[in-house]
Amino acid sequence: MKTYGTLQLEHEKHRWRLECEPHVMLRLKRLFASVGKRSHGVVYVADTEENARDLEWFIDRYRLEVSPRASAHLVKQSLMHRERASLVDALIAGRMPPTDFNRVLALPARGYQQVAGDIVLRGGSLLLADEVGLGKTLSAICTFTDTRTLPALVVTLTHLPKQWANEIAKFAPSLRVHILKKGTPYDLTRIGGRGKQLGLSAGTPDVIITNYHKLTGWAETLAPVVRSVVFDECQELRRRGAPGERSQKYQAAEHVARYTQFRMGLSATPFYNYGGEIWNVMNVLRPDGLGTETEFHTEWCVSAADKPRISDPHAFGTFMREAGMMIRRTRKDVGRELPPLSKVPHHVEADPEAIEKIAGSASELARIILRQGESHRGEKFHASEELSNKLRQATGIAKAPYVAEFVRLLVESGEKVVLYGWHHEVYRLWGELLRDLAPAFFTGVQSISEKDKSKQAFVAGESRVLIMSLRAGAGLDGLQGKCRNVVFGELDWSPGVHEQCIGRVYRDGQIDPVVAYFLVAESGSDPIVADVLGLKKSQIDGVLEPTGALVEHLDQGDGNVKRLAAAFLLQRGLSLPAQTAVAS
Amino acid sequence: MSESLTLTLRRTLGSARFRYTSELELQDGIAELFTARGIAFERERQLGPDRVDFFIAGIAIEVKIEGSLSDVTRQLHRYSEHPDVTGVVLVTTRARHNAMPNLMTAKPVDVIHLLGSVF
Repeated sequence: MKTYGTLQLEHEKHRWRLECEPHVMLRLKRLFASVGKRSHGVVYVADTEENARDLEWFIDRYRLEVSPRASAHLVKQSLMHRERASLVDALIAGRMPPTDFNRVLALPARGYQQVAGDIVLRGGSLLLADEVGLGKTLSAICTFTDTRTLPALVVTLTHLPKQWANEIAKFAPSLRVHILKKGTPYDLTRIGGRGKQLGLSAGTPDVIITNYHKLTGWAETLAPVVRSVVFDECQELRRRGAPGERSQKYQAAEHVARYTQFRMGLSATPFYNYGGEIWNVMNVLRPDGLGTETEFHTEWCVSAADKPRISDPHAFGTFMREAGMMIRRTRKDVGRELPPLSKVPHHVEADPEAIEKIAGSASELARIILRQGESHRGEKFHASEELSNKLRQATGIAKAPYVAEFVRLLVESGEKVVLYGWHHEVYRLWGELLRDLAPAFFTGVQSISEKDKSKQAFVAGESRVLIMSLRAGAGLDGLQGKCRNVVFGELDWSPGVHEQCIGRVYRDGQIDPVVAYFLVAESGSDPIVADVLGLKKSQIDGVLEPTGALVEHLDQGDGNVKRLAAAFLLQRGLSLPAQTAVAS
Repeated sequence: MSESLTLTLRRTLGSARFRYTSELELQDGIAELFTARGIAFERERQLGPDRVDFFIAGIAIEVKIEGSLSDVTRQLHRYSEHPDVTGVVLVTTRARHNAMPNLMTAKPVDVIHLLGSVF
């Protein structure tokens, strides 16, 4: 039978090499958009399950010569693709009974939590992107009940190892857990665990917990030992760094992941900014799942210089799900709806003087950034960082008195408030302005134990205001049920960060409706940040919820704030201004 | 322009959060909302060389998720010159579009900033 060319597997390079007749090549290029249009004669396609499936039917139409070994690999990969997709589908739709982890857990896990654990054990990897606060930790703990995953490694944020250890102790008390204490390797064989049973030195712990930072020093040591890895808040892997200056944190994660049989990423917000970041995350969780970086960019992204944006987020989100790479369940999906959450943007005043003060140095920086030519790249980068920082801080300061008043209004009407900010200077101002309310602090300055103390003081009600850093609290548990108001006194550049912040309060255990107030000034950096947020949000929403409704009702912010103001006046025995209509 | 129509638009659009990945999707969302609220509208009406996104009783409504201030200003100005148009409304997700003149060709121009859809 006539053949049109050859298909060879370059195993060590994880790619297929195709050589075929020109007219067949034209067809091929049409099918694989990621293949460069200009490549002649020979093209390469990454060895992914997805591509294997497509190649299979391509060679059915245009016969290519394939060695028996390569052919077997193609069939295997393509079968994996079919199975993975139908497995995830069947488990989620409930057509396939999931493994019953509750026989071995000390306390029961919910059905949907078990399903996620099951997918990892059967498929090897998963990005679990359930909505904030649905209990992703327990899905990971489910997998640890299967000894094939042990020793397991959990990589999490700096303030969370303790919380993980507590959860494991609660649900799987027989597991021996060790939190890494130093950034450099030390002997782990004296901790105690199932080591011997697993064919390792007796005394190796069952679960090792570390933060991302320490992993850098431990990656080489741990890679050959651990059999599964969980990347908690895996948006930490969104940055890979430019070639030649790769992020050490990223490389460490990539190294460990390459060795392990089971990989799981947990995050309600798997990317923070533009969609292109998802490739970096998936490259660790499921290497080659999305093809090479170039393939991913050509196929899915429009490049905005170094920040690739996904051109059709809906299509991409659907693809990720159907390929079984990612699952995301909303509260509604799993029938654990919380009382409603309203996000209320609210304009506040800003003191023009505070912004004016930095005008001189800001325009100098702006000139550097806008300078023509490539020669000043590093300088430009630093100037943009500095300008963004200066402007945002000035905006934070300019808003501070109004933000503090707003928070006071909430507190004096009987509420507790988590207030988010970013700059130390701004925290300091808030602290002074709200001194009589004895606010507690949970920011970059406090040590882990001080942070814990602040959290306790807030939970116990000794402090009615908790001032938190926008980026310090991802994953933190225990504030829900104690508070139902979140105030953003400063804005972050990433919508994911805001989601995380709201998730501290809006999670399982919350019994009241939650209101998140975004206090936005009409001057300074806020309008620009808001614009960028809108842009990024459309990417994230599109990928995570491809079938979401186009319009949803926005709880009327005005009403909320008006009600609040009225309650405040009434409590102080003051009369309401004439003609105040306050909907109840 | 009828004062009350602009107010109704402002209130209606302000009461919703739109999910969109493109300008077209945002327009679809707005159309969905108008229909649900019983606001009659015409989409893609030809005004001279341009097509305006929505047209309601003499008011040209343009929806924007990007575009420079000057480009958008020029576009709105062209609408304002059309004899059928009595007023122009810009529905935008961009704060920078707030700096629009409020009168063009002696016709009122209103900007509705969809801040609620940003967060």
